[in-house]
Amino acid sequence: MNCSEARDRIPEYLAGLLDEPGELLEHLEACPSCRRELEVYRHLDALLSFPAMPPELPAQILAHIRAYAAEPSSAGWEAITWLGAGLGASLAIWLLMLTNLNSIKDIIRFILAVI
Amino acid sequence: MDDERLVERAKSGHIPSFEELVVRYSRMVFAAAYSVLEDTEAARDASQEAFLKAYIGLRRFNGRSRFSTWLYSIAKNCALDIARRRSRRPTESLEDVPEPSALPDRRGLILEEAMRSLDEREREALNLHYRGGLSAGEIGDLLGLTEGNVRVIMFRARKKLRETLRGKEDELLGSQG
Repeated sequence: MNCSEARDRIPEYLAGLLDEPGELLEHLEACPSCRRELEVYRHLDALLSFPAMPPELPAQILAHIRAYAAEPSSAGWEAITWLGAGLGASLAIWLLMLTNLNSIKDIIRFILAVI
Repeated sequence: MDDERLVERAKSGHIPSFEELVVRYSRMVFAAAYSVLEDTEAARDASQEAFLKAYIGLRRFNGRSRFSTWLYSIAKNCALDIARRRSRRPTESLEDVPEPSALPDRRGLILEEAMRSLDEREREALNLHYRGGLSAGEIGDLLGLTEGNVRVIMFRARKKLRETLRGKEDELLGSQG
């Protein structure tokens, strides 16, 4: 294996795509220039991990959620939403009936006539 | 305990189960947010928002997808919302200026620049792997790809980064400071 082939295979090797890395490892053993290339890739890998997640973040998220869960409004919020929707729908039907009272009376009269 | 079980328990109001999900996935959520925002503080805000949204919306989660996939899409949307809000701001406020300790070193800046040569999917895969600590298989599950596809994407991304950084090896290998 020459240097050009070895350098092509380093990222494959690091990505776990190389089935038989023996030849590459042998080359790396003998070639300081390709070893430096591997070192560059390894530094790149290390840099890619930064910035890492702030270690306190999970605790902050948990505090945020606990605070939300402890709010009295959050527990009953869904029920209040459904209750509001129900009341709104009832009001809408009642208004509709009020405005269309004459037509409803007509329908009732028609049904009674048919019977 | 598996995710499904934790989700079921959390749905019935068992907060410690949701807390376990937070511990399990905060690194992934942070990485997803960072991938969009490229800023630690903004990614922190997005992560908090994402978990709160997941907690509130948990009852609507029907289990057709994995919990991690659902959470990942919430995290990305939260990050995109924050990015949109930021772009609408007319000028940078004093709060947005990072503290000196948070400023990246020269190597970080070089890498940040090189990352711009990658496409969105390549950046996402690298972020999830290195920052999120996810394996190629787990990334594949999130992005709807096979493990092999993810490995190839990461291999290409690394190679692209390396090419972009050619000639800057000394700076890259230099001591931090």
